Amino acid sequence: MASSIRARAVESGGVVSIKALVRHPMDSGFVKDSAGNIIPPHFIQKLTISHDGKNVFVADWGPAVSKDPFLECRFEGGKKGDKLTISWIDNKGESDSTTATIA
Amino acid sequence: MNKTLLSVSLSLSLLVPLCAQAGAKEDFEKTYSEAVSTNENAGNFQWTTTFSTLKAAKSAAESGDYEEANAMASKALKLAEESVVQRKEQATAWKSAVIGG
Amino acid sequence: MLKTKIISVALGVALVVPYVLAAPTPEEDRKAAVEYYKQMFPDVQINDFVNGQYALNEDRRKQWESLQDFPPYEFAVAEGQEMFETPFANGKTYASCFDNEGIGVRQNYPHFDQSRKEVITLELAINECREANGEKALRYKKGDIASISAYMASTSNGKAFNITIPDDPEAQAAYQDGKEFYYSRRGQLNFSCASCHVQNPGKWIRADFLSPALGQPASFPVHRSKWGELGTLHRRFAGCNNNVRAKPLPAQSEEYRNLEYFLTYMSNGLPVVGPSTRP
Repeated sequence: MASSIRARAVESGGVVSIKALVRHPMDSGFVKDSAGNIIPPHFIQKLTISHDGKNVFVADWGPAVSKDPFLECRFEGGKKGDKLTISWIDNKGESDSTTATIA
Repeated sequence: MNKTLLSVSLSLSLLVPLCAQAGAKEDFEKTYSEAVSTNENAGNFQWTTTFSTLKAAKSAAESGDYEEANAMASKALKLAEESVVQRKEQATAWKSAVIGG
Repeated sequence: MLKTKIISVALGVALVVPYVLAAPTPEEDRKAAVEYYKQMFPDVQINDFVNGQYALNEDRRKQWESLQDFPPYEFAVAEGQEMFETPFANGKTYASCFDNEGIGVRQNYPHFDQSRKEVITLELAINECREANGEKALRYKKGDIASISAYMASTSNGKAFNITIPDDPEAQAAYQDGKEFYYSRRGQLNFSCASCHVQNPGKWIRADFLSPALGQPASFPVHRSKWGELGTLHRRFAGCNNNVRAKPLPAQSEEYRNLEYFLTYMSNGLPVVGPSTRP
């Protein structure tokens, strides 16, 4: 199964820029389907990016974030070739993670 | 004599609204079916508003409000007629909009 | 008596000939359209027309360019590729239904099938491939059909559209039918496709920025932010019709296929850039 996370990290001038696209329905639990039934809530609750064993970015997401979220962030202290781990966990307890190498 | 007169007039007065109701229902059915067939005549030029007005007319009729149903059916008929006019006019009018035309 | 007959026949011919000569050919239409939009937008590079509003609006272009780093349709294209490569229950794949195994063929669609006497679009061809191999047809506006179509379009990225209209009365009629649909006003709001995309590109309609007709099909299937997902060209046709309060026609109906035929021919020579993003 392909990863739900696509990420790219680039270092420039001591700052690492990360862009990531996450495949997730992010259902709020307020929307009805064509039959009139509520589509149950299914959304990422926490997304974490860690570098060298330390969390460099933690996002507390919820039903307000739309489908297939895109995120962009920066942090200092990473070097080219270092590995980053991006992971998420949702309200159903499902999770996924991936690693990206800083370019 | 008076009792007969009273009972006859009572039943008549009860019948009148029933007749008016039956009249409104027939009017509705006639206007509604005319609106539907006029809408068919619009071919590919049908309007979404014609359909939604027909739907409103039908649901008003189903809940017994024939005054509203008739008003909606007449409105739907008018919309359908306008869309037919559009179809007929556009059969030739489209040429004047063509680039280089 | 004979003299009268000769005169009336000559008169009849004299009246008919100029009419037939007057109707422009598809190629004349296309050239006129390219000239028209070049004059309207002299600073736009001809190939940039496929980017629609992004060719005309600097602010939107910047936002689009930063979005292209991580296009929202990436997942759908990967899923489309997976579906395209997965064999049907009978063991065959989509490759068996298409020229060049379905890779790099987007620029040839739609085309006119002279034996069936109808326009074949890419989505129609995808479903016919499925049905010929014992699979159920997909719904035409979104979902899997859009993902597969998007994958196939991506394999043609940059190739110039090459729509042909054979010198055959039915093919010419299909083109003319699409052209008539394009320019006819419809719906309670009485707009034609041309009202917005020929007469008013580069202007705003509420919060939407209008793109010119030239190059429009090149970017499909499109990921619209409004939809939050990919949608096909016929989904957009239906949406636009609905917006002017015209009852939309079914996706892949004859009229919409003829319309696609007319529109895509106008974009001949421009590059395939689908799938793409729009607001």
